[in-house]
Amino acid sequence: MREFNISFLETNRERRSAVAEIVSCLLFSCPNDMESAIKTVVTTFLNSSSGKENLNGSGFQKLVKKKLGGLMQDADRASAVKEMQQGLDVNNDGKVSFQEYLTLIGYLANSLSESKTGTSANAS
Amino acid sequence: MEVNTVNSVLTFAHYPCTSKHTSATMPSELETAMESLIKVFHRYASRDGRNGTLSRRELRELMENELSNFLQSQKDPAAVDKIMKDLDTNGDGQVDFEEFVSLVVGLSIACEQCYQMHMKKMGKK
Repeated sequence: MREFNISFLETNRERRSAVAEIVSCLLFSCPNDMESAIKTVVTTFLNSSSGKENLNGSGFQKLVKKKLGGLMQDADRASAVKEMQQGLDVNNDGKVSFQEYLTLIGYLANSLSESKTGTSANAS
Repeated sequence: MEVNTVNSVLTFAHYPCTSKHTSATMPSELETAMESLIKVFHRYASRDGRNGTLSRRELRELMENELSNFLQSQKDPAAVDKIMKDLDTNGDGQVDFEEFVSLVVGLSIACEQCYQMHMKKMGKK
């Protein structure tokens, strides 16, 4: 899977707060379809992690089972979800960070899009 | 900050996407959100030229209509062009769905940071 390029978002701390200010509209004003979809992606994680930056193993199990059970086979098989969690855990801390979670969302959105359109993007 | 991705997608091979939505279970809000991202992308991608990818013009239209809040806050008039350049990692002048997902990921990260800041502010009060 390709590395997501987010260089259009400033990464140093000063500018990051500016970006966060900017994006506050996504969370706190009335969003349209796409903005509310992004909001859902973010709040689903935050609700599961109680606002923390990481999700522990059992929290991840619950999230997958409750929120992704319609998209993924084996979502209710603990060993399979654990295996997937280890695949996502690039920094090997045993937890699922928000970015690791987004990797999964990105992967699923791609698969779903491919299955809908019948195309397969060149997986590099 | 970089978004690391799983290079060994092998573990995911066990989880083929299935359209279980035909079954009795209602899709979750998260699943509906993913569907709506796909719908938005294809609605604009089919406007002109190559279907299934966004041209520069289609990306501009998408951002102007669907991310108006975000775009309005970008003071740089060349913002869309810059974003296009960043997203188009294979350099074909088009944004495919996988490249579009990077935009969603980037916005989600900014959104999450905003939330954390908001919570910190609330905590101080």
